[in-house]
Amino acid sequence: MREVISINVGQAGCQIGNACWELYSQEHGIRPDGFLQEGLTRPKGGEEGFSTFFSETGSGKYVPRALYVDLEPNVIDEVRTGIYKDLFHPEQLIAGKEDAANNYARGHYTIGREILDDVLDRVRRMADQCDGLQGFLFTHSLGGGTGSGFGSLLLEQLSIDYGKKSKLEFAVYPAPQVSTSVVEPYNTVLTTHTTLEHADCTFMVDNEAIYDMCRRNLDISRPNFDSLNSLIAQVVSSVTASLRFDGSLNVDLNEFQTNLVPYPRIHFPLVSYAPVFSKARASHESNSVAEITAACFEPGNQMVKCDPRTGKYMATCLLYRGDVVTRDVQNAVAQAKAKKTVQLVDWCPTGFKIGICYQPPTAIASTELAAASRAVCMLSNTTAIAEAWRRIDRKFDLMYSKRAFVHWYVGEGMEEGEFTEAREDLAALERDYIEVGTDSFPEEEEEY
Amino acid sequence: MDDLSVYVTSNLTSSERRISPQWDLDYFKTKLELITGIPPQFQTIQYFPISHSNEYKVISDAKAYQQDQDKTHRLTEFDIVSFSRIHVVDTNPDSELNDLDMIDADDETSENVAFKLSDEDYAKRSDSVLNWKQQNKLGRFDPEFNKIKEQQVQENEEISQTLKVGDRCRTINIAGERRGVIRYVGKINVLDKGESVWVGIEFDEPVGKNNGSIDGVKVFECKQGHGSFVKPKQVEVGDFPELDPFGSDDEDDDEL
Amino acid sequence: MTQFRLYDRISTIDDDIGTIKFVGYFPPDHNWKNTLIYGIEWDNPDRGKNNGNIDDKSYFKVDVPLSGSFIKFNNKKICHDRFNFIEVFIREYYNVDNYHERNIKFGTKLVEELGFEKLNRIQSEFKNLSSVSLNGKGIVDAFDNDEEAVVFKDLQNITYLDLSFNLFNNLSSIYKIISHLNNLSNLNLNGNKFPDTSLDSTLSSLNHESLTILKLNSTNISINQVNLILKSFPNLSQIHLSNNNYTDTDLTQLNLPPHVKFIDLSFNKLSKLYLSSFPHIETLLISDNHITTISDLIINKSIQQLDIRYNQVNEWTFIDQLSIQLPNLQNLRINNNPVFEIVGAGDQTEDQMVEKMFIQLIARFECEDHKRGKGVRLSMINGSPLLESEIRNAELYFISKYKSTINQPEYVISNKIRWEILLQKYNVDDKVDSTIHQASNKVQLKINNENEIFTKTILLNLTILKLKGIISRSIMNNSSILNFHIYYYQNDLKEYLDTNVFSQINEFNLSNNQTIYIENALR
Repeated sequence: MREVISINVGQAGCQIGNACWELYSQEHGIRPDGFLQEGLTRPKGGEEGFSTFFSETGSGKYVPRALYVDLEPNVIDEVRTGIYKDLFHPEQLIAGKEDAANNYARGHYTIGREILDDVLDRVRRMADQCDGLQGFLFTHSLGGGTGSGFGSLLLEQLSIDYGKKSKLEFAVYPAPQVSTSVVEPYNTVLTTHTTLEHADCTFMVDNEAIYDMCRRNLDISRPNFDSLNSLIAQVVSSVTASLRFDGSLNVDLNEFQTNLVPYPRIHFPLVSYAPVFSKARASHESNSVAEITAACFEPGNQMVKCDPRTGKYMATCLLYRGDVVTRDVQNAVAQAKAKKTVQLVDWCPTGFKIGICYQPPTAIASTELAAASRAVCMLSNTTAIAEAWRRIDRKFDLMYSKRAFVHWYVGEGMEEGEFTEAREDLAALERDYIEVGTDSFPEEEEEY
Repeated sequence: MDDLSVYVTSNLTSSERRISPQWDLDYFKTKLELITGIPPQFQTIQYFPISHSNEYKVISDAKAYQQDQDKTHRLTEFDIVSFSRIHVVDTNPDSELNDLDMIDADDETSENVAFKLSDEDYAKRSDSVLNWKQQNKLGRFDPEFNKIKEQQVQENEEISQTLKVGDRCRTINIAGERRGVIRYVGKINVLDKGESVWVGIEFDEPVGKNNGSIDGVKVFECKQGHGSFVKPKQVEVGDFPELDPFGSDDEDDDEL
Repeated sequence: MTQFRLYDRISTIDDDIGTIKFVGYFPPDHNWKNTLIYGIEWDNPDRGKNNGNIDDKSYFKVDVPLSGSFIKFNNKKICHDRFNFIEVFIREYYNVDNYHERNIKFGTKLVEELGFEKLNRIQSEFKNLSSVSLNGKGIVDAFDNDEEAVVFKDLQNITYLDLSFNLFNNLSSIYKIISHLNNLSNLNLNGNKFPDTSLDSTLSSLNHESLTILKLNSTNISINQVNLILKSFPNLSQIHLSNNNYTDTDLTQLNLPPHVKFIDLSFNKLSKLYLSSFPHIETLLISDNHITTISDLIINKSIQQLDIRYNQVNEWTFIDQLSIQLPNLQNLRINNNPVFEIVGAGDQTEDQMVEKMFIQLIARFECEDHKRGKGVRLSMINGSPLLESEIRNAELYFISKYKSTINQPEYVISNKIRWEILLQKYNVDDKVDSTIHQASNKVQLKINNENEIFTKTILLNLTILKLKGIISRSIMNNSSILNFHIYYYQNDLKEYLDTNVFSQINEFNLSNNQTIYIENALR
């Protein structure tokens, strides 16, 4: 058994968690109450894959290997009273009483510390139920107080307690245009610094990019959090599909790192997904392997806004799902190659891989995203994502040069030195990306 | 009364938040400060019942700020409904937030305050990619790398000497064969700081990338889409007469 | 080299598809004389050059202007290989022996293919296949002889078959394939063309019980043919007929059996919504037509989901009619119709426009919370689920707008029952009164002086004394303010405004466009 424990932290983390578990349940044939759908004798997806994400109780009920943590009760209360309330055991839902007030220091030092032991205890109990725990899958935001502060605190602790186990993150990155709070750049820089050495692989999602996809591809005129999160869930699901189903690539959590991360600090692959179109339009798209592959190289299908054409790739993994034949995939990749949008760093130990998983994606009845007989998710470690760090670092600098709002953090017992230390680390990260991008052999087929 | 979901906006921020109608105005303002960064005494709070409309009413005006007064008002008084918008205006003319409002990475002020990591400090870091490359002899720290790179440059230079402007030529890559005429052979500063030799080709068909100019610098002249610059190694000179893009050399492929 | 016949479908090396519409020779004075010529109508009109005519002589007709062109028989762009279904299927899915890595290189890196061999092993065992996609593979026919058909024995688990954008031009080939696939439930034939010439009455002998979803988008299939083939699929529940050039007249011919619950008619040329055509349809997709009106008055209780985006709806009454005629509608998509661009018009942002559209729709339909509702009322609008609080908010706003803007069509609901329900829900009357939300400091009044009406905008914090002064100067020729009284009607009772001239205007319940009357005190 190769179990994976999912940990959802903070408002964004918990809401994305909800959308993901709704989708996982449907994909495996499990009802909202945890029992199998009518007509099934075993969950879908094969014993091995399925049990990485669900545990089975004696009574024929299936329980997600998941933990929800928030410092304030609202979002967790919604899970407790929602459609999926019976899917989870009350022990899996941990809520504090006082929120982190958008403040990393409250989540990391004051308020967060108060519930840390309790959370670690629950993690331990869940881990004890596993035969061969692979690692953890984190979902949190980088900009909020709980997600950034408590998320990083927990990740640090797990690093101590579970040393070698893999730790993957899905992290909501602040949208480029508007912040959710004025101190979002501080929180993002601080949490990135703290988790840089603890997370093995971080998949970032920027709400603005998702919002644009909902509007443009799904023609939802007024996307709300539900629309965004169900799209994010579809992407998370396609990343984790190879773990949950009989996959061919990234069958183990640590293979994400092996395949994508050439050097531990450079662990922020860009995620693209196709096809994204609405149910009403689904029949107009021919949705061929060539088309969905080409779409993955379009900026409009990326989870983070940046321009990969300006960067170099350290690694690329194309994960196909559903009804594809190998010849079509080979042709599609050859076409992508002909377009010369991908330049690989040749001295990096990572490369270009294609994996195929026979299980097609599932559409949720209540969402707009259409079911497709096939889908592809591209994970590419590109230097272009450094744009995201540059953006947030600039915002940080503008505020920190005036020491604006620093007293909020100091007031929670944080030392001011942590700001400079974190900022320097991020500056080094920007430099790391530049350093990764240099020294490739000039591409023989370069053309200008 | 249930909590309400409302959008809280200010010039710098926008987010969906939960508020409780039982809160008093003073407490609400402290919450708003943590989101928007605007201190209570400078908050003018506008209430937009329909979040995207122009119509609002002012719930609290900074000009009349009195903390004691605020404590006596509960949010229930303002008939706030879910999915409405609370917009907070910063009335402090000296607010540092107003400076932050103009965030632009290329802006001069932002350049002035930008944190700078010196080369020395970066080189000192033990967990850097630079250090990793040095330790493991990767990239330019790999003696082989430099050898191969030099070799490539040399090979290209040697080939380039066999190429003459005006020669018929072709290039073949995964996308297929393209034919044309060599229009330029030599270094191009704007392209790679004069690092290597390039061959400028005017293709017979519009299968190139430009019109013979790079970043506005004219190297040679041809129709837009017919020009490209490639490495000498890619170019094969010879008797390659013009062909139409579909590989037929008579008029059978005409179309009326 | 294949000798093509009329109505053969052909493809080019650049993946363009067309139909042969002319086979023959040009006159002796043409420089293409003595060469066999094909006239082609291209599926992508941009690929064409003319309307099937050369030198004023017409050789064939085109459906879409400028989608035709002529080529010589030996044109090398044309693919001459003709494949049948069985050979292409085996070529694509039976890979167990001939799979090898393609050795694609990005720079110095070789692309690693993982799981391909395993996938090939699974797929090459045809019994494992439940889904087969052969889109755009140049297939023209089913199979050549019965020996080939033996393969079908192993294909009995196939439920999904995608044959879109192939070169089929008649339904008998299709029937030949699917009659061997007894468990097929979902068939995609988009982009093949089935002109009326392929109509074959022998087709009706097929009875295929497992098929539930049939896609015939961009096939130019006639409604007559649709009616005919529907007889072969007694359990069909979804039919897709998008982009087939249907007109209103065509649609009146459509005869849908009760088991068809879903129909896609988007991207056609319909200008009327004719609800009588869909007595059993639950989901109707009719976006991207030119619809402006509903052409009948029937109440359709079956339709639950309607997509009517990108049409030409420009009247609010259309929407009110929808709410009357589709009482069981639960999911509506109606964005990008001109009516929503009229709202407020001018310099509003996209967000504001979207918001107003939502308010309009929520007010005009009876809606319910997407999660907490009973699932019988409208709960999804333009792809967004509705929440109870949003519904309340929008309805109250609409009522307040109605009250502050007399008879502006955008705030008038012609569905009387809906309007009554709305007023009752909030226990308000439809009397015009002061606005709930608009925190304005002005009010526009209509001043009636012996049936002559003047409109004035007055600040609310003025005293009645001042108001009378204004009236005296602007309407009463500076007549003394003691010479007249002013009054208005509240709850049908006459109320004088000037019993105390020092009271402020805002102490009275005056709303925008309220009429006040002048009464001569001297009479």
